[in-house]
Amino acid sequence: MSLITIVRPDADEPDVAKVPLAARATLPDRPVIGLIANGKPHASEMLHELVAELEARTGRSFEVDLLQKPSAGRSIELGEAQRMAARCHLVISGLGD
Amino acid sequence: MISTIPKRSAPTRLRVLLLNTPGSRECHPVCRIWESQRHTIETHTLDVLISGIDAIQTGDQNSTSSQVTSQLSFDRIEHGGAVWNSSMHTGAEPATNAGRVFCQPNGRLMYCGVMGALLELESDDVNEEFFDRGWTDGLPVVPPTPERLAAMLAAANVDDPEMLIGFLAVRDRGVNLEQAAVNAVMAGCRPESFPIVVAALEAMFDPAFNLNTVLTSTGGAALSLVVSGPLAAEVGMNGRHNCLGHGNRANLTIGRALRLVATNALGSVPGVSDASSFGHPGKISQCFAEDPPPAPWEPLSVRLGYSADDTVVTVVAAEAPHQLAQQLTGDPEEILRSFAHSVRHPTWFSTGKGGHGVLILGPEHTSFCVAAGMSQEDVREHIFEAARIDAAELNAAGVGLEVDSQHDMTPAADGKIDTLASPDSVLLVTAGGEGAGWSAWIPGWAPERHSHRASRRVRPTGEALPDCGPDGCIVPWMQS
Repeated sequence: MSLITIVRPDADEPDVAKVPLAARATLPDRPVIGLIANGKPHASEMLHELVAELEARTGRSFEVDLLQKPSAGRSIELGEAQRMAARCHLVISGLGD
Repeated sequence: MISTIPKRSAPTRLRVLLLNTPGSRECHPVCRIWESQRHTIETHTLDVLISGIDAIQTGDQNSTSSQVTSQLSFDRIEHGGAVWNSSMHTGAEPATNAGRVFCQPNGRLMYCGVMGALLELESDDVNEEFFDRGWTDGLPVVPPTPERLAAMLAAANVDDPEMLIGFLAVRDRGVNLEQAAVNAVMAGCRPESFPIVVAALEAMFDPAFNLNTVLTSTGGAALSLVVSGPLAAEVGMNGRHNCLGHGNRANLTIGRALRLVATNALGSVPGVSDASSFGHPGKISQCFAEDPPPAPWEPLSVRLGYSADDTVVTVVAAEAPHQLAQQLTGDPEEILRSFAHSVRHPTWFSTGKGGHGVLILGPEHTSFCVAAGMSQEDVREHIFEAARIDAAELNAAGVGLEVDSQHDMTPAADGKIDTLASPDSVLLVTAGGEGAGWSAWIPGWAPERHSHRASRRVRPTGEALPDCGPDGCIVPWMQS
């Protein structure tokens, strides 16, 4: 056998910067919870079930801000994300199949 | 024996590559270290040295390899191996673009050096090592040696191998020309096919194609490629018998290169970042050439707005091809109606949701349509209309209508729902060989709102880039 030199085909792993946690603010009596439904069937229903479960466990009532994505395969627009970040105290942003 | 050279992320030490190129004088007869305003070479930042050649020029001086070695104060020089010498620590980051080696095999300055991270392996171990590292598609690959990489880049007249083809912000990963070339070598591409690979990658990064989702979805999408134009035949692509099957190197290796790039450069790994529940064989390679249609029909490249002299690649996120048989009639309306029935199959994911796909008409079916005076637009309109489906037909097949979802499946006044987003959603291509009467349908992987096909013109080797000035400009071949 003989040695050969090859060029690696892979790429460096991305540098994933640590995202700082949001500040833990005191919640108002009726916090706003943002829901991002990915557009798949029953996504909204499942997220509302989650809110009901949260309300039962925390004893709080939440105001729901629901955003329905037009495509599960596309991210929400920056403006929508900024609007939700400004208005909501909590956002459930990820939903799988 | 396996020795790994650290990757380029920490280039604080000199990297010296010595190419053992006996007998390859026609490839690298003369090399020079290029000095210009863009590429400043300093001895302490040299990354690549090509050896085994008659002479190396540094500036205005002609020097032999050994003289250059002396000038650059290397304390070791070998042929055929990569050297990582700890005594060459520079203590400083090399300047961007420093350390390139360019050669002039045909009097034209071109890149022939290597900046990528290197690995030294026993020749018999290369494929096993690549399998272990997850760098293949499950099939053996051609080892991407620096010589093969240089030939690939030279074929596309690359003078800046680090130029990005595209970038996926959501993955924080991109693909540059060198990465594309390395993976094209692995796929088995001939260098003359590389410009097609580059154009296909450019198309994949079109935002409308939605590459991140295409590579991630549980639906398992092929990076399906249609090549229309004269270059397809010049590089030996097949648009005739068995064009979707085995037996043609150009078809299979061009398509395979895209998947290897997705795997290695974009981190698309089955079961990790590629969540395909099943996938399909076309995910390895699904690429064919258009067989130019008979007049008055026009080739796809022309219908997409390009010149007949241009070669245009179109990438479609797609399921596997399905052969369509119609061998008992020459009536084009019957033929197309039967094809549309297949297009609107109730269990295709896109049926009733505004899908898209590639309709490949074989020679017999094409000739029946042409003889009947149908235009290509007529065919697309016919397929679109006949593929609309009754809600009752879906329900009878056990398929429910989505409600309150991303897909509007509300029936129209006639009770039907559009299976295709529009007539334009049918990418009509002529291909295939004569026989009993076959065509094919390649369904899009998902409704068109999730991924739209994208096209790019292949930039011929040697074509100059436009001078865009400081503010940039619109590049003609970037039209979609």
